[in-house]
Amino acid sequence: MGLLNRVGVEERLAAEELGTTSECLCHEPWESYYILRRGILPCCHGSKPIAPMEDFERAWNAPALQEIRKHLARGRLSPYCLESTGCPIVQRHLHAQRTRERWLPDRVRTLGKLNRLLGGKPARLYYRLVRALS
Amino acid sequence: MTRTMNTTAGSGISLDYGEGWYGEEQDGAGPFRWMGREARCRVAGLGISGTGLVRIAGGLWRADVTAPQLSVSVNGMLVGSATIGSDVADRVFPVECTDPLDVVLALDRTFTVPGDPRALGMKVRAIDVFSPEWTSTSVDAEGWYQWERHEYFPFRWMRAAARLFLPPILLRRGGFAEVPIFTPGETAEQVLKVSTACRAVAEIPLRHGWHIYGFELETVPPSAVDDRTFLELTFSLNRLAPGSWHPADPRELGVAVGELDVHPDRRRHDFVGRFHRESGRSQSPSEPVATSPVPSPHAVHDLPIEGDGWHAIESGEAGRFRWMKLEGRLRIAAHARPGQFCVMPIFSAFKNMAQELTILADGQVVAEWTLMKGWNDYNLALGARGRDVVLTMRLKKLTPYASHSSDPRDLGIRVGLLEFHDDEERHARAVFIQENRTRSQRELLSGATVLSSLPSTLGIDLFGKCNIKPACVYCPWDWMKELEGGNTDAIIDDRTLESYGRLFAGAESLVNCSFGEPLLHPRLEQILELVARHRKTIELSTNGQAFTARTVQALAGKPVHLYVSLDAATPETYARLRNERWHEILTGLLFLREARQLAGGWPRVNMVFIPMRVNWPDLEAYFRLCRLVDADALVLRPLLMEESHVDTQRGGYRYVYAQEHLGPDDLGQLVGDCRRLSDRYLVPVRTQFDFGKTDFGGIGTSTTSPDRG
Repeated sequence: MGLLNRVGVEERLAAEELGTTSECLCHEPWESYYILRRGILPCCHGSKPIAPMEDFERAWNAPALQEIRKHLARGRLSPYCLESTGCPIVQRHLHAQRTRERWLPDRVRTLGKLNRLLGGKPARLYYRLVRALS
Repeated sequence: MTRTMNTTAGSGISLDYGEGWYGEEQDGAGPFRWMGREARCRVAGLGISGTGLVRIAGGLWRADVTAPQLSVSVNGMLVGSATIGSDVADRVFPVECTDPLDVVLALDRTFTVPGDPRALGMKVRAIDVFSPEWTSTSVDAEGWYQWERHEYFPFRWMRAAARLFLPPILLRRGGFAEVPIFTPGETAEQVLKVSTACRAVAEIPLRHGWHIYGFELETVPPSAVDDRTFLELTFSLNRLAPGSWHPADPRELGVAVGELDVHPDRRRHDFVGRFHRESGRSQSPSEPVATSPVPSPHAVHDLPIEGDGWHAIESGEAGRFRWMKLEGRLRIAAHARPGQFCVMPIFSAFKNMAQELTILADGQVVAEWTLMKGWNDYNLALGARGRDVVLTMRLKKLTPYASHSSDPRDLGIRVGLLEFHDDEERHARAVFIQENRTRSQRELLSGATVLSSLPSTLGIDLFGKCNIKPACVYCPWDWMKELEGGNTDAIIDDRTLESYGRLFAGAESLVNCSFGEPLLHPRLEQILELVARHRKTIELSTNGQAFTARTVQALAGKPVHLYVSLDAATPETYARLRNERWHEILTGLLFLREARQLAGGWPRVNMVFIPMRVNWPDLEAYFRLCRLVDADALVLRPLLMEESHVDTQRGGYRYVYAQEHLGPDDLGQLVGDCRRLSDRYLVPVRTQFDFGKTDFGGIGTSTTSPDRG
């Protein structure tokens, strides 16, 4: 156990038992709801209303809100969220994306270069494998 | 030397020096003239009548010269005399105003200095004339030092005694005076007496630090104020500030006094008076009366444990608690149970709701709860009173050891102090909220998209109008009002909130997201009472320009988390973001501070700071401001709407929205600054850069500094 502890396995198991290993991107659409003069918003950073103010009873489970929840439950930001650029979570996501795009080489171009350097062998192997599997 | 005329006097006023003056000179404090034994001057172009004031700012420059006696005559009439000290001081003489005014200053002796053949009488720095018709602020007479620029508002030190005059324009505002005063001494050590020429007005024991004090002026209705005379007030102290407090300052210092204001609001006056009376009785001015907006009358200090299923009592952010092991027993004696319903605060470390608690009373299962992460209140009906109850609390599992490797104990859950009550309605509401919260967490964990649970946070929109016009420089006011369309003027009040039915019932907290100032709501009091009655909390963001007696009294003691959006710590920066009303905001915040101290620390006050290029230099001063107003936290709030095209000029500054944003590197540096300043000034910092829920660069949602002593 001592060795396990040293490599952090115990902590990892404890975190799994406590359920703290995975973190939903945002809880707001499950826990918050905004009935505002400009309409119903799923969170205070929502870009546009999903329903008029008067529809507050029905809009809690409206298709637009279900769509947002569906994306977040799968660990993604919904198109609605991505349009809500005032949201700090979205801002951070967009910033990370921009940083990635700036520093990471284009995947297709890099693989093409690598293939040429190795005389085209990786591509031939890949297609042979695909044919065999199909 | 013509600092002279009151600034409201307008143009066309002239001051001509006649006989007896030497030429204008300059020293470190500005221009001045020496007069001989007698000097004459004429003030013309005043165009006024009534009893005005002539103020002579003068003195000697040598302390070793025997003090001469100054006599002042106006238009051939002696109006007063005074002994001249070594330092320059103001002396004020009431005069019957005519146009022109011929002023003669006469001394009973002069002196000479080696190398200067002149017969020197007095160094005169200014001659001011104040008319009752256009003077709008109080006029300092003897006993005051020069105005100084406090970081947040102007003030001057008073000696042991001082005089000032209130003009009719000020007196017509109302019958109550209010003034911020600072004393470095212990509470009630210094007593300030205020009197008019005829009677004593007030005797005020002063409290340590800056506070607002009020006194009633002579009972003359504002409409009956004599438009032609000033009201003279004399301030006197029983003792000076301790010399040990200002070892490097040789002056005779009494107390520091800010600008005096006059208002008509008796409620506000009574409130300020009550604050000083009641807080004077408490041991420490900063010690809150209670820690809850609705304090329990049956507060206890420990759990009624039985057996060895518990660890020792501890204290944390949420108050006192004990860790329970896998099973623990509580024996609740009949006499210690003042109600049939029990509120039990429980903390669980399990986020996946894998922790379950079963409670048995006398062998019967009375509750089975799936516990949620963090501190949550759980509600239990214990049945009729009059007998002891033994509760056996059984957990499904312990918290994994590896999650608390530095603490080798068996840790199950934390249980806070129990609260009992007899309010069935309250119990039913609390159970509804508890069940909804559990359902909500289950649905969140399962990724459900159609929910049977209700939101625990309900955003509301109380008021659509604002008192800052034009709107704050970064506020998308016009756009929002366009989106609101016809709803801008819709009435949303306590009755509207109740009409939200189960959405209101299920919510634990309300968050006001108005593009408008909520404190202006005509039914603010009723709204806050509804929230308190339902034992919810409400978050209100305010611009800080609406702290009146009505709003502060409505807020006092209510479960409100107030977010005061200032974003600035100087009048200049504030003017760049909003307007020129900085000084009244400070008075309002001090007034609110006094009200909160009386009401157990509620509302909680969070001072909002949106980091931008324009206000970054104010950051440290903002921490000091938080200390001054006794804020619960400084809140960093992000500047939103990245695509805003605001480009405007305000307060002499060009505000370009896109350029005001701080990038990640700057924000990282700012967070580092905040951490350092938080430790220095003992002001907790919270961030809303991620809805206030997750850590941002090391500063989390919890406090970053120990509780303030």
